[in-house]
Amino acid sequence: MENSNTGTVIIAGGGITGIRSALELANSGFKVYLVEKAPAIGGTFSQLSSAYPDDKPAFCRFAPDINAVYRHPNIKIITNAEISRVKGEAGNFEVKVVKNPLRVNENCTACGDCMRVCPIKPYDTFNEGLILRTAIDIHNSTAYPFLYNIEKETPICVETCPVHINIRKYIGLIAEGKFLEALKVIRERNPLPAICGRVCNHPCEDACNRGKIDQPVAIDALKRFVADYELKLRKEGKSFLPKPPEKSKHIKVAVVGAGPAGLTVAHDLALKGYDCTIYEAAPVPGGMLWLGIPEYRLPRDIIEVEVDYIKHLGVDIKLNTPINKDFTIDDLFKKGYKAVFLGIGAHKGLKLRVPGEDDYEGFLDCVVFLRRVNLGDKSKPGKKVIVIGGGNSAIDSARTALRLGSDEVYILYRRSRKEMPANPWEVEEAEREGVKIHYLAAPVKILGSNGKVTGMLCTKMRLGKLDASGRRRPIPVEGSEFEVEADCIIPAISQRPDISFLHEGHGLEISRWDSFVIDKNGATNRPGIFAGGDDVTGPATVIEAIAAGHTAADSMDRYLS
Amino acid sequence: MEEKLRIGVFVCNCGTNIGGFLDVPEVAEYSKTLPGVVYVKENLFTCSESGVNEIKEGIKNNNLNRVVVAACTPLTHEPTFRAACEEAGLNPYLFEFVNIREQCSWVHKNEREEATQKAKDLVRMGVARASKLEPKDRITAGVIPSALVIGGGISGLSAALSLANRGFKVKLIEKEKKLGGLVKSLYKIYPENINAEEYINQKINEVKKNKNINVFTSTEIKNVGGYIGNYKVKAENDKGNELNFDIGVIIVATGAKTLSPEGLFSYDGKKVIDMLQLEDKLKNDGISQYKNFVMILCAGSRNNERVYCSRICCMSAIKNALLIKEKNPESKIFILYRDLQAYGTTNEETLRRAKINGIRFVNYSLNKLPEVEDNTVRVYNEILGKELLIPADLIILATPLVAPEDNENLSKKLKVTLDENGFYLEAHIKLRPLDFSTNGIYVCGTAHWPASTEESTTQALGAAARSSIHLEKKYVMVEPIVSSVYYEDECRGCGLCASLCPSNAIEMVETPKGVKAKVIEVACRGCGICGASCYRHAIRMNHFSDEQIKAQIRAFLEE
Repeated sequence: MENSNTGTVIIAGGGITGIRSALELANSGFKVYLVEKAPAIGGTFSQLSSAYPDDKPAFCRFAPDINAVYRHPNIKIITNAEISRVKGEAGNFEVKVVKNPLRVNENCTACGDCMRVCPIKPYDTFNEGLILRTAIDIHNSTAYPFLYNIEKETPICVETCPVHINIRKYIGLIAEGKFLEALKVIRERNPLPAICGRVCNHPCEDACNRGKIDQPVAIDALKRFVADYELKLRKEGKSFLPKPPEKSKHIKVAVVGAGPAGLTVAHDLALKGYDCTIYEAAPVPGGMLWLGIPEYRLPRDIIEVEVDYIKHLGVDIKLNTPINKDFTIDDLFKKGYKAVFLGIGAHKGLKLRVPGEDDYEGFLDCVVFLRRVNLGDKSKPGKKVIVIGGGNSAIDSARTALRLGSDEVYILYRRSRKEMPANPWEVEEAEREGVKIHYLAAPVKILGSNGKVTGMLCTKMRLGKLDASGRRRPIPVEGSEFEVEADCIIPAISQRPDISFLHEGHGLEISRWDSFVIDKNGATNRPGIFAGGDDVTGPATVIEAIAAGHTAADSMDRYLS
Repeated sequence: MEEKLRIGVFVCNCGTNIGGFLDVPEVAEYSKTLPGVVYVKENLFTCSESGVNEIKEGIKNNNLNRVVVAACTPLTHEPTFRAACEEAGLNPYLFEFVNIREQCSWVHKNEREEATQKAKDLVRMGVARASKLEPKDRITAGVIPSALVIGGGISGLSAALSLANRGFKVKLIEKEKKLGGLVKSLYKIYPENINAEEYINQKINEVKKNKNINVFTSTEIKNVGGYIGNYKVKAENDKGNELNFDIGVIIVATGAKTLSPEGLFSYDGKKVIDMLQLEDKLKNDGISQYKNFVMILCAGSRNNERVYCSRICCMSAIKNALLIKEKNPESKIFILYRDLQAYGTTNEETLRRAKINGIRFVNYSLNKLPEVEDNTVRVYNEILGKELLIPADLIILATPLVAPEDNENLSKKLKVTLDENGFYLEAHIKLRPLDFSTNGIYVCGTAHWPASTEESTTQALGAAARSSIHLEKKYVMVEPIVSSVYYEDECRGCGLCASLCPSNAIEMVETPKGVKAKVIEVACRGCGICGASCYRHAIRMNHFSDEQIKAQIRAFLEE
């Protein structure tokens, strides 16, 4: 009891409840820390006009308390701050408080000139978004003392990035010439910076506010620059890989598939001290990065360098080692792996479902075609090639065919250019290279003779109302059929995961699109088995696969500890 | 020798709140011409840190001995500016606040010139008063580290235990023979459905075992004298023994009682009973012979006679209906209500459970009250727009909690106020919800207003925490804005002031010159009633003296 008034109390929340509790405790002799998330104390009560039942101006009722709190020698107010961690037990807590910067220093004389000239006008949250405020302002103009601050939201680019790289931070560091520090910031969320710097679809740039004025900040190119900069230093012997982490957890984890999702999982878990092994069926690492993306877009040495970085962290990558009916997922558990991540991608092309598809030679799925090329077969697919589809794989296939010596390459897409899912810059480059694109055209029938493809009967399309995908639905125009001559047809109309490797009684829940069903933590229905990337979502982007990898790695860590 | 006046005037623009509606530079310029003024400063926001620093520097650099701030309301900012003066080495009571916002710029938004003129008048008056201000010291007094808890129900027991566990001595006075209060008559306590008797007995045992608590049952308060930190309480037990306590703080936990249902809905105590009788029947397995139950809510409340909602009846009815269902699943229960109070997750969930279990809710209105007939209740259902005849073997009236008549008596002894329903009234519903306006006395539980066990306990713990501040500190400090018998010779000892004082702050004492009034400064709240009522003008209000106010009036008329 004697020590009762030497204690320290932390109060989370500076609304009326927090303020009153602080005063009561401080008056009893306790030392009080009042932690408030907003830049000023007062909470909802200070937002009210008048308070029931006496209808006095709410703030005038409340102001004496706010004043008393500010002036009380036993109370320390920490605004713009949040409690991030609590350790210990009653009587002996250790609390970590993270204080956000006000971005206005103590020289401020509260003259208010900054507010008058500030061009940024976000919604005023203190006034429930009914009016606009300025980016620099006083959170609560009735609070004491006046606290000017700049409240910053998460920038739109960071918000949009699937892995939420702190883009603003790394670009700021690049601007200051701190290239290696910038790369470190990128690596916190993206283990494949050089790859993403080349092939990312960079939704961040689409969202970039600067784009509304002239053009977006070249976020992706800057990422590529710092990754290449480090690579150059490394080659010159001026920079070194970081010390690999110790496998301190002594827990073995298996990853199936060395694509971006699998590599991310292995990367994250290796850093956390797990012993990770990646099982890859192909003779090369990278999954679709290597097998799907043409070399002209993503040089193979870049993939090798990034994979080397992950290997350097202690990850063992077993190439040419498929998981199949002879060496099953269950066998992995028998070998002592405590958790398994399935990142097998989506490598099975979908059928066109038009007559003649299975009848003639010269029919080549884009996945098969690109894989063949990327593994070294440089023979041209045909003289006249038709690629069907509007995604990046279609463009990749068409450009690759052209580069392998095909005379004419057509792309057939059933919507208009606006609806094309491929990156617009890819489409532009393909056209410049000589790929001819037929928009609003769809296959009707495959034509052939003597067992070989000779061409395709197509129909013109028009766009109707929006469909479930949010794009306008293509409708065939009657009587508009036309023929295109070709000796090779490459369908590139989407892919599915190839789940034929699963043994009987695998017990995993599979969707009707052959993808794995996971919860929001990346866990499948079988304890210890996680999945993510294209084998869950269907064909998607590298950065989305990396995001799925992070999610799965985090929950695998939670599952294993 | 009297010090030469060196007055500093600070005129605030309050951003545009003042500066937008009157000419602040002109007011500032005018202030320089006033007698005694040696320094004038115009601020954008006087209350901002920079403004406060300007006051401090103004005092130090110009040897100011009076400070006038012309800004907003003292309610919010007087403490700030007083503190600024104090930090600069000036006695904080040599500060004068002139309100040119609420009392000028805000009410004269369209009359810039007139507003400027009025602001000048107000500043001139403020400067005149400031010249008459006197330095004052804050008043402190010791606190006897013991508490008196009046009432031994769940609130009183909880408050006493809380204080005792912090190491303070507690006297617990209960006028009944036994501790426990209303909870003792309950069957089970909502929402956990714990056994009420076991629960309260456990509390009683804890209290009895606690060495810091002295329990006095069958004891009533006779007289309360003294003031915060130093109350003298006289009590008497049923044997006629007088008890005297020296007490620092007092907690009122006298509770409430249920309204007698006599005369309501054909109440007979047999077929038509009240909720407490039902609790008793539930306790003693006395419901098995009944099949059809009808509960009538708001029986005797929310009408012209008793306008308030008793707050606890809805949930206790639903709780008991569920308990009946538990004991006798075949029973049919109708709850006739006007409005249902089932706020919060737990209550909503319980209500839902009651509906799932087949308990029927029928809405009636005050205009068409249900009528109790032989084995039926006739009720007009507002929602159906039809009259229903409900079979009834047992009719239960949910009567409200009402304030005991004793409150009148005890409140006078404590000099605290009651509300229009006879419950104890707090000092301020938001700012000081557990305090009385008399310092050092607190209220909790159903003495305050109808409350559930949970709410009563919460309030009890709050009142204990509030009161322990003084016990912990061991002293109280009050503003020196109090009255004093300044012209003692004029006092004739009539006692009018003492009887009118709402804070018990004046006592009549024997002096060599006869009976004289004496102000207990620590208890005085500075209201001024004594000064205004003293026909001999013997009493003077410190900090609002006649000289100061007269100077202000003269300054106003001067122009």
